[in-house]
Amino acid sequence: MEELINKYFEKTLTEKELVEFNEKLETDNEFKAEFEFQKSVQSAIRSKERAEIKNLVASFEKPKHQNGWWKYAAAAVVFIIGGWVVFQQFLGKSDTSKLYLSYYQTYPNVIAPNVRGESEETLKTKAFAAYDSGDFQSSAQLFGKLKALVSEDYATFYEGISYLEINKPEKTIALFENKKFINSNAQLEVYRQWYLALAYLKTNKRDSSKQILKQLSISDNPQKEQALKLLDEL
Amino acid sequence: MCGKTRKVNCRKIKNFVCLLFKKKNTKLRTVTEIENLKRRDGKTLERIYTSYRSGFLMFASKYNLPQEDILDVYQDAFVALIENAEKGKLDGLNAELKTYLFSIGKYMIFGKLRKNKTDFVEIETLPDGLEWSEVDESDQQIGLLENSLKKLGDQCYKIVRLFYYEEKKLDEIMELLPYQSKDVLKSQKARCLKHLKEMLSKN
Repeated sequence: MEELINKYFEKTLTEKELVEFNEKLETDNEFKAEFEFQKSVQSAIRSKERAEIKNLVASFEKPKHQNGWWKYAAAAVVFIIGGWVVFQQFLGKSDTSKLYLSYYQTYPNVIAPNVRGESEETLKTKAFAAYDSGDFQSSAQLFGKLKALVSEDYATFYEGISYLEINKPEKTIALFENKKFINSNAQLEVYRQWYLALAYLKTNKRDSSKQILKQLSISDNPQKEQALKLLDEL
Repeated sequence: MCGKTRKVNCRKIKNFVCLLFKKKNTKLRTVTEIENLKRRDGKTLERIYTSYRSGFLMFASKYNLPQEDILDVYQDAFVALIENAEKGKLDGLNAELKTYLFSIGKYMIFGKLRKNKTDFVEIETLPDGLEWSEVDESDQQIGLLENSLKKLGDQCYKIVRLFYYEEKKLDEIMELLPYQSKDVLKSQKARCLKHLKEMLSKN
């Protein structure tokens, strides 16, 4: 019985076997039931497999963005973060640059009238002459030389200011950082801090700038007001 | 590069075989594509589905069927194409898949029109070598069996699927599944059927 039914599904029944198969189907109830059961099994498997394929095929009809909304959300987040970073990098920078410009003033020559000593005087006069005439490139170099000769705080100070004038704030920072003008009057030390804060601002080091400005704003000094104002804007 | 007429096909199938054999090699191309159909490879299926979809809807619009029915027919024709591929009926055939898809679709449209009995409908035949048997959806036993099949063990399902769905001969299944002898396979198949019967009688 099993053999005949298997051969039916394999489509390998010989003519003689086909006659026998049809005869059994007519006369043998058990045979007929078994054959019909297996036919139903075949239909059921077809139905199951077809449903699976059709589900897959139907999924091609669904609009893609329905399950991709999170991609847009992720893209938006990336865009916002990216925008913020760009803002910090460029617009933020120009913001500190603007502040720098509105607070920066060339420190006046308050030293030159008190000149003593010949050789010093020549270099000193030249340096301040350059400074006063606005040739800060030369004044920076001259104050640098002077600094090596006289080791006076004001030489370092005006050298630093000259560098700020020619837009080299990193040089100013190198000169003013970790230094204290203790040999001169207190005013020079206050302005060293003030201009260092501005140099930090110019190089977009907000935090370093703020730290100094806070120091200036809590002690009594000529730049206290300015420091408070600038801090407020930062 | 692929020739101008081939270029379209290359883009359609996008597989490495085409890139390797850039000259005419229709047979090789179709073989790989049919293998992908048999595996029900999602990307392949979607590409074929979408590339013929609008063409089929246009082709079918001349028959008196509602739009939803036409899309349904297209999907059913697609299912039939895959089923025939899985049964090995497309092996060795060289016509474009589009030809089969549209022929099956037309056959199904005529079937539907005949059911609706709106007009006199001529008999349409399937392309040579292809098969499609309707499943009687109103047959309750088939529905119950379908549920039982879902609870059948993997090994059993593999055997009955190969034998009844892919219509493989027992000798062919011997080559695909690790059975020592045809008798062992036969008795395993009989046990699986018995198991199905038992599940059915519990319902």
